[in-house]
Amino acid sequence: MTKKENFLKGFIKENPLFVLLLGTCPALAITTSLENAFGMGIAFIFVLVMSNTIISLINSFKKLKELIQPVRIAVYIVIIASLVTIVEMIMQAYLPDLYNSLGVFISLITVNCIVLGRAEAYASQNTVSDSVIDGISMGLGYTLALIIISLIREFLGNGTITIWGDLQINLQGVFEFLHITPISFFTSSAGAFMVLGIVLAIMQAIKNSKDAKEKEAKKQEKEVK
Amino acid sequence: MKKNLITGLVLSVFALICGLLLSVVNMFTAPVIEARTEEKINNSIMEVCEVYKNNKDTYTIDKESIKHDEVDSVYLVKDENGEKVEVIYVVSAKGYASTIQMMISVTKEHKIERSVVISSAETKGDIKTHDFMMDGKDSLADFDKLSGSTISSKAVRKCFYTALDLSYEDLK
Repeated sequence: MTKKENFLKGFIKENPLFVLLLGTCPALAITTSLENAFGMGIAFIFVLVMSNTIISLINSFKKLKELIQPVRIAVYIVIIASLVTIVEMIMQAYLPDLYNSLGVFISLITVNCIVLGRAEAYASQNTVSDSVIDGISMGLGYTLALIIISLIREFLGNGTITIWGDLQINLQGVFEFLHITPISFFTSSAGAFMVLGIVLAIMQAIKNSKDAKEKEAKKQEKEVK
Repeated sequence: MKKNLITGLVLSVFALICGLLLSVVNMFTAPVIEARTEEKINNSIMEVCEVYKNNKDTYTIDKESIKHDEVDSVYLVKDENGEKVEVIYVVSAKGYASTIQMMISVTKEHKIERSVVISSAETKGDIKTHDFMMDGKDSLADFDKLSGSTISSKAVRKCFYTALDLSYEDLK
């Protein structure tokens, strides 16, 4: 796998949320506004990149790798938990509004399957630079997924799109034009499930049609031969 | 046996390093967080206490002299002669889905001046903007509950009750 492929895989091919279906819990809970998705994404990228770096660094020393082998999961969790706590403390000090709206889900990054999964499955077996790229790719892919879900939910549920703080795009005119009110169902957790389901279905449909096309192309090639 | 010991030692070394790192970060962020909370409380005091807002230079706020078990904190507002003018309570009560924390100011005549919900994560109804019709009242007779949020309203009512009750003791 080249570095470019490694970087691009997190966006669509191995998107942690849409394809691997990891980390759905915060994705459903905090995607009520675009600002939350941004904040969660930034916190998540920081934790993932740092944990991937540190864990691949530890595993690059053979002796240390052997030493921590029996307790490696515990070591990983200690590292991830302290990184998350650092993010939490910084956010509470400098971004209190975001901290309040994300609430308990910042601390829950610790038990997010993506972070531990990447540490165990990728960072512990690859070089430091590859792990960093993997962290950035997976983090950006997850953020992209959060942004897509939150855009749909905030627009349909509130008729607004909050970019950051007071910077807000008001799109309620669209609803007024159609003579309906925003569908507040989409701000509830049931609406989140529905949006995730629809997006997954669309992704699957695109993938299926691509596969079918490939199959047909192969068939034609055979016939020509 | 010896191997296990080494493994445990390695794990504790990792925990120690992480702990040290956390305490360093905490050293930097803790004062900022504290200052922010202080600022938030000060802003809320300005909001509920008109006389202090208008006479910030002459009036003082006494933060430590009174302590009650029923409330989180008590702020006494005093004028230039040291006379008690108002008392402000930070009260919390358990609501429907969260603990509601309110700041309530009571005047010398045992009337509620104003109240503000500092923190709540209630899921039903917006108690932060609802007017409970308590401004300037000295009893709970006119309390206007928020329909649809009975349990949250009960918690708010309890906060008002505690504040009014304690003001007789504190503003003597």
